[in-house]
Amino acid sequence: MSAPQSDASAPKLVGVVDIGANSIRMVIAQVGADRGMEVLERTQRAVRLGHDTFARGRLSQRAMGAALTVLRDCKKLLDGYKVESVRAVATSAVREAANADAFVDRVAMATGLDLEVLDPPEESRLTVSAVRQAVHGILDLSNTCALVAEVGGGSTLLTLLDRGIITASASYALGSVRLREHLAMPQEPQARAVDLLRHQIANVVEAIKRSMPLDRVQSLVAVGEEAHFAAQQTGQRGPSAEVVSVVEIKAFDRLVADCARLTAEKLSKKYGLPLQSTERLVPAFLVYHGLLHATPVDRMAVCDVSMRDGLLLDMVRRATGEDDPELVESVAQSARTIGEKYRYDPRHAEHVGDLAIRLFDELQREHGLTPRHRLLLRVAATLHEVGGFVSNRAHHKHSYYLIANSEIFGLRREEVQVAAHVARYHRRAVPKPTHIEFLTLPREDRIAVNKLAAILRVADALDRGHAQQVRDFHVERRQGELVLYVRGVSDLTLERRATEEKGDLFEDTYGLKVRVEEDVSPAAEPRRASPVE
Amino acid sequence: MAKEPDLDSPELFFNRELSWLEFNDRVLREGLSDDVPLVERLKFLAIVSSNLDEFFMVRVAGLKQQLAAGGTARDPSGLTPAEQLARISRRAHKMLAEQSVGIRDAFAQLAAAGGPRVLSAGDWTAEQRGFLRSYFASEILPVLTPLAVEELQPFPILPGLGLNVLLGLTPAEQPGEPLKLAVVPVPSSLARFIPVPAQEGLHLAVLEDVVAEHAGQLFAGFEVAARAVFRITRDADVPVTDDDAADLLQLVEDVVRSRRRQAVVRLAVPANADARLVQWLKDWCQVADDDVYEVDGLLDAAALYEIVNRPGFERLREPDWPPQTPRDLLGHDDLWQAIQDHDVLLFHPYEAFEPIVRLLGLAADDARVIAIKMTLYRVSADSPVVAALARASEKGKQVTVLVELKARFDEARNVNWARRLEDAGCHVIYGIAGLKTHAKLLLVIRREEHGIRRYVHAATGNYNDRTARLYSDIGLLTAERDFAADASAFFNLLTGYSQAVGWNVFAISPTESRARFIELIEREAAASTPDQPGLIMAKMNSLQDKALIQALYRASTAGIRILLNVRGICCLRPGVEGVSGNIEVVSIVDRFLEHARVFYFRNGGHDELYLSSADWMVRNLDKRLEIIFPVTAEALRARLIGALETYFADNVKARRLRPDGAWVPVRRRGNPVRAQQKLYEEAVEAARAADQAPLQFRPLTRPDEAQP
Repeated sequence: MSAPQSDASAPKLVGVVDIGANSIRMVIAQVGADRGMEVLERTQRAVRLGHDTFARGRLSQRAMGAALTVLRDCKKLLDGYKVESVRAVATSAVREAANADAFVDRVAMATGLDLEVLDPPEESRLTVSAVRQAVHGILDLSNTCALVAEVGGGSTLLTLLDRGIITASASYALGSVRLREHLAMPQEPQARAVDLLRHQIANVVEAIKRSMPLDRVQSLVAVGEEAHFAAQQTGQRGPSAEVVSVVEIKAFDRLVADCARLTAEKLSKKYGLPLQSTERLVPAFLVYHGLLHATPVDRMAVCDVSMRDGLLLDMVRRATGEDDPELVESVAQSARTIGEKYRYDPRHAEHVGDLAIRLFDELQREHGLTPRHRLLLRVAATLHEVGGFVSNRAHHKHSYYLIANSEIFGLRREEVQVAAHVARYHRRAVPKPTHIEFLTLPREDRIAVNKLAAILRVADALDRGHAQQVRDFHVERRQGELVLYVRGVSDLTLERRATEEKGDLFEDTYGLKVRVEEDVSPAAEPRRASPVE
Repeated sequence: MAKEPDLDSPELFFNRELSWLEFNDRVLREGLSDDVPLVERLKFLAIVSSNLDEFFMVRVAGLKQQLAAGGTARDPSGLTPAEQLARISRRAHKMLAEQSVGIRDAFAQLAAAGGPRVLSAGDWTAEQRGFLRSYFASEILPVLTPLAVEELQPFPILPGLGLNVLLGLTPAEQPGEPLKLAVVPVPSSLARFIPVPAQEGLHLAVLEDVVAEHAGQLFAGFEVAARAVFRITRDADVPVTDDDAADLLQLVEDVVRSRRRQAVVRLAVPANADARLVQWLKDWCQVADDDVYEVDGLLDAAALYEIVNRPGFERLREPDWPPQTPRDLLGHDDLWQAIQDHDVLLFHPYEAFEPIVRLLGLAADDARVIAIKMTLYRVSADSPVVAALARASEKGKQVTVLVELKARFDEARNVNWARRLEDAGCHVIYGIAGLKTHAKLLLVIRREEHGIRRYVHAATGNYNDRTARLYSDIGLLTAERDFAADASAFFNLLTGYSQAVGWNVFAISPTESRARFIELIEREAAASTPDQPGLIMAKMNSLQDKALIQALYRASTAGIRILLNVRGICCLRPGVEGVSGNIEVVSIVDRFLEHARVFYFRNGGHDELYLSSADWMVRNLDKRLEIIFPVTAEALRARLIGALETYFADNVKARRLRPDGAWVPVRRRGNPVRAQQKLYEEAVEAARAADQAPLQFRPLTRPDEAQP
């Protein structure tokens, strides 16, 4: 009897390894169409990577060694289950270490795990996506202004959700481990150390206020171990399995005051927690406390989720092929914000985006790309002309570097690079071996850039006049040709000529020549009124 | 309103050692009871002795260590170590005297009933003497190792618990000379009861009598002026301190070896022994009068097991109660499927332990099984469990086994199993530093058509197929996800793959079990109303933890009814007005050793029932890794509540603890109920009902592809 082969209906095994500032955690889950998600393993081990990074700027050999030991054990568990897809990620403790690359390499050599160092926006996005899932049906994010705050070991991540749309996201150097490292003065009396902490946090909170409208916040959602602990301590005794709980400001004030009086040793004794976690308790509490008092709200919703849950959600969505509509909207919104900054033509940008998406969907069989690429195409279309802000001459090149150096919420750095290249090739030269930046992309990304840029060029050609004339078309494939039958436009001269000019990459990539024709058949199948998503 | 009682008052607690002695006395009562078949009586009389051996090696030795270290701290009942030792000695002396009378009485009845006749040396006929002389020469003499003739300084390193003959010798030519001494250890490899020729029936001579009679032959040129059999018990309370042991295997072996040299805590000599010899022994062993036990009969009554285990004499025994197919598995051919369908309860020994052994065997041979993880505390010799694990590993499955090397007196055996499993390629963990892993847990991970499925067995008793026929224990088989996730997390904790990450259904010692139990007790008190009074029913081996006892006192004061079935130690004093007036304690000592831990809380009508490997003792709650797990399936819970009620209905074997500390038979009212018998009959009835179930036609079809 042999083990059954995996087929489409068989559940997929996914694994997430998260290297944080205090510990390395892993989740192995099974995702099936019918059984939902089942967590098979959840592990956590204390490895204090943040300690070195925040104090000395690099990971010590000892900490790296400890991390590798833990990661080898993780790998054993992953291999035991034969987990097919694994994402291993690291956050600030590795991100900020000068020797991060060496560490990533050692992890790869020792375990074969391909460690991704997450940027703060991606980290926020993952946390927020987990929060959305967790609060679904409990807290309606669509009609409130919510601040999601996660105090980690290295940094505090803040995301502002205005009616469910992410409008701002930033990372601040207020981590529980970092604060402790900076203020680790064993001789100092407890009260004095706490005062210093409060002071430092208050300064940062003032800075936050300048870039985020904290006074408009209507709901504060706290994420993080210490927030969860506060919820357990202040809440009514109940099942700790509750994902969302509420902490009232008064109860929290009392808890913070009580804890701030005690040393880590005493906290450890009082709550039966390991010293390593009580050392972080007061610094983290003070950050939440500072944020809570900087907003007009009088309670915080504590959400017992983490970035790992967001990662899992991502992987589950990937495994099941479903898309996260909120993520798509957030990314698009973030791209529009950047567009506004560079005074783009929003109507043209949106219209080209719609046309490009329409073509992308029509050509799914030809390009075989993922929903993620579809999103990158949307971003590239939105921002393809932002280079005009610098100069109209060679504006596609300016678009490239403006996009490449932007942080787009919800996109990883590599993804932003792809979007930047797609925008770069929306006109003039097609990708060439002399284009150094293009060559630095991984092969798969280069292929994707070709396929996406080819579509974007055609979409752009269809709105050459920036008048959004072409609204409805249908597509027919015939002997080496892709014919776009456009309805309701009497004069297509401009579009036809532009398409001839810009269809070069399309023909190279898809082996189809693009032709634009007027659709005159009255019996034409009724089409969607507008080619929007 | 009455004054708050002081729950720290020594009046409210029984001393744990004295309470344990009362437990052993209950075992003795069975050995003395005319209602118990004769051979079974011998078994109980033997258990009294083997129990006492361990008690002296561990508990008495521990107290003596405390005393030697100048310890004067009082236990919750207000006694210092010295006071405890004095009382223990008094109680144990009385018990041994009663036991000796009981053994003689049982021997007499046994002979009268046509059973074996056990002879004392004075009973030997001339023919038997002749036989024994030649038996000594051919069978015993070759394996004797006499230890020294003249200077017995220092005292020879005799292992504890063995029998020895001490001879006082004088040179044959000079009978007036002072005695010279020799020790002849009685070989432990020989049968203790020797069948001798007789007119009719089975006659048995006692090995040490034969050795004592003839040992003089070893010393040519000397006359035996005095002789005495003696037996010493040594301190075996040598803790395995493993906190920074480089090689735990080596350390454990060293500890086992060192037990040979530990202090003597008890000296047993015959009642009529030569006073000079006894004095010498006392000097050598450095024991006080209190530690000397003069026994009128067998010095090592545990040997009676040999007679119990002889085949035959069925009419003098309890009828055999062969284990039944577990009710939840009746009509199921496929174990995997059965567990998928519903949780399975296994109530041993009424129900067979065989399904667990079978499950392990299946798992070892099933290509879809990818991993097996298991704890082993005490396993049997030639354990099929160990064999299955080794086979699974050889077949390429991930096998993780925690072998608890610190299981007292099983250390040496466990070292062997551990090595064998390691050789087979298993990932073996020798326990957790500073804690004994007492939890009984098995996890089988299987890759099925619809994904990974995990099967869990959690239980109150060890993975020991032998003791599973003698101990009353409860196991649960389940494929519930929450359970499986906790089992995985528990093994990740043991292997060091993870810290504790929070539990779905388990509560774990040493971190949270006490707090959890106290919480459950307090919740019961809080939910109690005059119309819906709270009820706690708990069954355990021992109740000794002070904090839990105090929680029970508070609950009793709050009006909760508390029924405790405590087999062994009970430090709680029931029936004290205003403190424990609502608490009843009963104990059952019967043919099976009561070993299950079951905890029931009425919880305002939302019944909750937990099983555990942990007693309510400090050691279980603070120094061991234990699991407390719920029984969530309605039907199984109802069954266990029924079983608890049966224990409390027992009026045949049950004894009730009185406020003064005496254990008295439960008054007979209504029909006699013997809990173990009733539970067994229920198991038989269920199996029979399933056999007689209407014939069902089961069409054989081509197996569905999705099915294994």
